[in-house]
Amino acid sequence: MSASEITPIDKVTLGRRGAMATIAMAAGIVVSYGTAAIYGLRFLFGRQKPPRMVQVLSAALTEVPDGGSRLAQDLSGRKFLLVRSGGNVSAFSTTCTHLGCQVHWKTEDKAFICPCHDAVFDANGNPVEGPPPIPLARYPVEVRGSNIFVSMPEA
Amino acid sequence: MADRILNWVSERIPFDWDNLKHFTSEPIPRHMHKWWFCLGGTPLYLFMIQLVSGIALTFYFVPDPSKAYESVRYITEEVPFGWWVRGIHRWSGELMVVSVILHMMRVFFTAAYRRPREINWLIGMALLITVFTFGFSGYSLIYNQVSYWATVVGTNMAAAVPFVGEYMAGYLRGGPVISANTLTRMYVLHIGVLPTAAFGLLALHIFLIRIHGVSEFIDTSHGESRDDEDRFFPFFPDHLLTEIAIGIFLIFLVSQLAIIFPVQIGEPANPAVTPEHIKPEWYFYPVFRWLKLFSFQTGIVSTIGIVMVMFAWPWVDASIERRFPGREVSVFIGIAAVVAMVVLVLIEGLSGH
Ligand code: HEM
Ligand code: FES
Repeated sequence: MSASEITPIDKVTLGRRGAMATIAMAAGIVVSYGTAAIYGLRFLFGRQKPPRMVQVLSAALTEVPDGGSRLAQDLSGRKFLLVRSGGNVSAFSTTCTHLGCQVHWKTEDKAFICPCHDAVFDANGNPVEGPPPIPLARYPVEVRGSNIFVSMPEA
Repeated sequence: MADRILNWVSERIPFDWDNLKHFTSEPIPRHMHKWWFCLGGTPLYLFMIQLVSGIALTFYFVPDPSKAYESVRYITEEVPFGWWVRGIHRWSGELMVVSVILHMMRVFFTAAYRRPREINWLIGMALLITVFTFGFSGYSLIYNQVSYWATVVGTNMAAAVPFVGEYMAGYLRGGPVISANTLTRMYVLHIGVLPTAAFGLLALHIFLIRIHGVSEFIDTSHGESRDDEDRFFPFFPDHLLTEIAIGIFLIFLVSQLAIIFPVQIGEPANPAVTPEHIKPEWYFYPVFRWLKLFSFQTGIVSTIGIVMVMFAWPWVDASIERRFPGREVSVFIGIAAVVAMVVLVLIEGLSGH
């Protein structure tokens, strides 16, 4: 071992202290800027609260033929489909489950057509053609007396 | 007198002006006299046109869902020369995409991304994505039917990306659904974040070009050799003059396009009804058609895969080169990719839906 390889004792302690100080400082920077970064990202992400559900009076029971369906809409013009079999009514959203376009009802074909990527859903909301992965969403339905109420997200 | 002014300036700005002389007399390989080799200058020039015309548009554009469409209509129909400024912004944006793609093709087919220029290819890819994001966010600002639904589909595509998708879409929309927050975000992206990013990336891009020099091609079949006296010409003033001439042509071209093909305003956005024919901008046709060809997840995942391969291309190419030395397999892959893109654009463009 040559003399130049021997580290003077004061350098060692200083080095160790220095290393500790450096680590502490680095940790401080990571924690403080990290916290700021997380808060900042949460700020940018915003409030992702799902819209409130509201109940919409959609139609009278007699307006939907038994075994058939009827297109209804809320006051803001959003459409949805009512399908009835006996006293049982279901309501389907017209928002395509692929990428969110509005499907429209084609009476001749008895099917929903999505213009965005040429998808077809049958009258029960099941995807029959094109890219949509899952059936159209169902909205909760309540039949009160002779009226059909549908719960859907606030427009 | 001139000396006194010069002295005054150099005292206030104590900078060795010879540095500038050195920096601007970069030797340019002679093939750069041909315009198709210096296509990189075209998007740079168009970017400046976008800055000026875009800032002009911000004087009248209102980023609020109930006012955006009306403000674009006002710009187009009532502000003096509003149709012209808007047309320039639109057409220069379109040409930006065209020229960036052409520039990329020239870099690809001359293999100019090979060692040691891989990093600049990465920066170029980041610029390409920046330009596409410019197009997407700018398009969404108009708030007409087509642009509104393109935004719905585009943000939902982000949501479909595995693992991080919901977060990406949340950040893009600023809420669980498209809302006023989404328009503000698109606006801030379009006029703040993206121009800043583009500026930084362009600075890096040009810095790297300057320190590497433009790659040189020696065409021995036409009697060129490494010993030719006229292998290079200086950047200043020769190349700068070429670029200025191209620039004058470009502003003329963009202005003519704005006059001959005026920009439309279309129908105001209606969140309750998707129009029968929705189409994104033509440069998104390949992705749009691709998504119609495959199932949902396959479409999205394969699109991400293709973009990742494009980023990694210098390394992919190097490994192909090692396996098949000198066969230039990359050229054929490149031709296949260009043909595929063109075919997808044509199918989508010619089909009714
Ligand atoms: C760099 C600064 C830029 C600024 C400040 C800016 C600003 C704006 C503004 C305010 C609008 C809305 C007005 C309108 O719809 O006509 C707009 C629209 C648009 N921008 Fe930009 N922009 C910039 C760069 C770009 C770039 C680089 C592109 C390239 C792809 C681009 C593409 C678009 C498109 C496609 C529209 C919609 C055009 C239309 O039909 O009017 N912008 N821009
Ligand atoms: S959004 Fe309906 S098929 Fe793509």
